[in-house]
Amino acid sequence: MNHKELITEIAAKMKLPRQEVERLLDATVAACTKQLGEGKTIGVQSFGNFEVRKKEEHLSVHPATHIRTLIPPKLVVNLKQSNILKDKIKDLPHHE
Amino acid sequence: MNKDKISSQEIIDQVASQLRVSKRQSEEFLKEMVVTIEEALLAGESVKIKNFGTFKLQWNEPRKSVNVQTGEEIILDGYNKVTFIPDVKLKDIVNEPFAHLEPLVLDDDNNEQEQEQESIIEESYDPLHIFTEQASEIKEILSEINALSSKNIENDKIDKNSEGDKELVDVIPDFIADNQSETAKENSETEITNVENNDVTSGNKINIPPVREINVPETSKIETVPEVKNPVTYSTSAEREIVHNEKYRPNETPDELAQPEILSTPDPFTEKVRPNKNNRKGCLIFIIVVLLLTGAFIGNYYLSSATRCWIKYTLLAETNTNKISKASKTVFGWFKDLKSWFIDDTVIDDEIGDFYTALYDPDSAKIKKDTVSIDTIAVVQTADSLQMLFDQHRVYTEFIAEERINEGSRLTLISEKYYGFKDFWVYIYEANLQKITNPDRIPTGTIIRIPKLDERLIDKDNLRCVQYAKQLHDLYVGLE
Repeated sequence: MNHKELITEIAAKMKLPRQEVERLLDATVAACTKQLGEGKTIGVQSFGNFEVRKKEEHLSVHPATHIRTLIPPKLVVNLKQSNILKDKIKDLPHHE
Repeated sequence: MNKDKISSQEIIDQVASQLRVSKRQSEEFLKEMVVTIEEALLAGESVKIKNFGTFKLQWNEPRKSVNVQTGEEIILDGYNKVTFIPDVKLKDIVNEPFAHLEPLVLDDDNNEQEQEQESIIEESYDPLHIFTEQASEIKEILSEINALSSKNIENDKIDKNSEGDKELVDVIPDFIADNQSETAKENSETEITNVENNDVTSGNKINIPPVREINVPETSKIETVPEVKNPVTYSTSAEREIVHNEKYRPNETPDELAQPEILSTPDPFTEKVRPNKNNRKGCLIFIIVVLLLTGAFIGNYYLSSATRCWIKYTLLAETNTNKISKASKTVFGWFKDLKSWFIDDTVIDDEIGDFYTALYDPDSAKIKKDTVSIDTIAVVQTADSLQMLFDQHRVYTEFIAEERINEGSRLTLISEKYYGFKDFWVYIYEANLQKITNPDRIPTGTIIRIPKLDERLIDKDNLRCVQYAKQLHDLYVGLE
């Protein structure tokens, strides 16, 4: 499901025009991005927490050429799923 | 991180204020969005939101694990997990604080330096290496020379043998010629033509050997045979048989029947000898040529290698003389120390004076020998004075400093700080025996005192001091 499909689905559920939904979605994404950019964690009820994690610098060695590269630390966004979501998807059959 | 955590409500508020829509609508929208994403995920789909990221279900395979308390092996079931892969834009925004950092490709500079150090160490051992290499080379050369000389002897033997063969070979044609001339004489009674033939053939036989030396055996024979103007075409093996057949046919007397026997006996002999002679001469020439070539080659090679060896030796000798001069300098230094120690003792002083005069002798050869002898004497003397120091009971009354043991403090490090060498920590330990029970584990906060030590005892350049400290180290560490 891509961006457009998501908008269509939400619009159908909320009985709102797609443009309106798109505006809302864009605004939400912008707000979330801003908060995450400030290093804050966003908690979404029954879904999970969007959090910023710091990956420490580490030394990577190219397995073939043995070139050692120092990877600098970086910040990444991670979704820590809530227990409710976990339980929901637990019984999901495994699709290959 | 708790203070940085914001709930969905704040996002709802922000969206509402930004878009000037009611909070209810905004909240409803967010809930719907989450629900829709969940539904899509539960349906096994992935959800992609532009500029934000992708939500995906990830299947984690069941895996083996161990119950920490019981140690039993348990199998963790496979499970699904929602993963979020942030979009490139979000990634960049989040990682802004570290955006300026670039992956750094490390050159193997450190390794290279280490290797350089290693190579330096190896180079420092090089003279020894060269010496051993040279020793092995010399051994090889000697063994090869021995082998070569033995080979030469063998070759000489072979030469002699071949010479003997030559003589034999030289004798044989005469013998054959005699034999055949005899038969010719006997035959001369019956037929003169045959005798002539025979004589000519025998003459041929005598003539052939010198021709063969020019290595044209078969052709010469064939060429010489026609000279006899014999209408019969001779093959090498059948030649004489035909001659003989011609001989017996006219004379079938019992005397002459016996003659073929006599004739036939020498003939196979000559026929056997001839090829041998031929081969041997060819072989001989070949062997001689090969020997000459190999001899010249080997001689050349060893001459060059010998010169190389000689050059190396001269170089080695130079380095050795340099070393010896260095060693003599250090010995001078020791003597100065000795002099300062035994100022009162005039006898030793005089002796040292003698040594000094000996050392300053311009004769370099004498210096070498003297330095060696003085070296040993000096070592013995310093050892004796040190032994006295080592043997006497050490009482620590003067202290130069106090040190507090912190986390990570080591007696060896303290020793290096005050005495300039790690191994002399044992004296600090001796001075603080009441406070330190285990030198490896000193409780933090302990204040130890650093004793003032005799300079001679903590001379890190003196091997004896270091060795003694190590002995003490073994003693104390072994006790624990």
